[in-house]
Amino acid sequence: MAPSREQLFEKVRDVLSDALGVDEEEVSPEATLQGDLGAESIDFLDIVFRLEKEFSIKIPKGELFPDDILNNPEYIDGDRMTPAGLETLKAAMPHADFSKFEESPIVSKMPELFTVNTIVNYVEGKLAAA
Amino acid sequence: MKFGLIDRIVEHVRGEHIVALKAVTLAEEYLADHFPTYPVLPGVLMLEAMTQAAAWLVRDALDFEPGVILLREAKNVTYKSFVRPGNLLRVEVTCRRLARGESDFDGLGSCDEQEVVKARFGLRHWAAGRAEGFLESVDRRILPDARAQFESLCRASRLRHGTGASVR
Repeated sequence: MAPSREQLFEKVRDVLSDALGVDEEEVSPEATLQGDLGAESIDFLDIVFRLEKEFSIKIPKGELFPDDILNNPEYIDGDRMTPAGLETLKAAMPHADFSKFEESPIVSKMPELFTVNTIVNYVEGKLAAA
Repeated sequence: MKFGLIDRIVEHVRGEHIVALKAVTLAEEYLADHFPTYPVLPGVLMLEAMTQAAAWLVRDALDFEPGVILLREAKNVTYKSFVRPGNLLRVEVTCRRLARGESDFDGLGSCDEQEVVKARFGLRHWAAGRAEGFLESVDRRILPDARAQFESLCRASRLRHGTGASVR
């Protein structure tokens, strides 16, 4: 039987709590990985590894946390993302909520796209497609 | 890679408080991959800068006795914003506890008066020769180098040592 959203959230919460060394109470659905939970680049690798183990899924490089966007000069203009960059990012991250980021796509605000919900959505999608 | 991240010590109260600067430049090798079109100082190195500032406080307070100083733990590390080439990272570290072998700190990193990182962390330190007698020669080499480096880091700010006073 496929796990419910609630069950998925609880497992993701445990993974993030372990990976980031934070209390479970801090891992709310809307919490951002970097701003609220203190994650930084090296933690994203750890999170991917732990999610793969927990849910027995394969997460190809760049599928959960796109790494191409900051490597392509056509997607960045100074401190903002170009429209092409934004479209590419949206296509690469159907599991994220872009409503706030779209209004002002400043690159330094990009980490705000990575919330706990983003991860739960991603895992939900992966399990449904399996 | 040059791992000494602290460029200047600007405030120092012996055993209590230290403020240091780290300038971020495009010459830093790790920026080439982090990230190619948008270089930013890795978060772990923001924490490392705070750790190193704390280590200088420990060395000075313990008369440069410990040659080995390592991060023991880091808690509640939060990152608020990116630090980019051309920025000056200012780390302010307050000592909460200082024992001979361990110490605890609160650290705050800021750029242009905007907080970018905060952490509570602890260090472990010892003289290499105390752990292994044959390493005493290592201590003897490290000690004067460390003193000289500390003097150099403080000199640009004209800080006086040995008085426990800070000079802005």
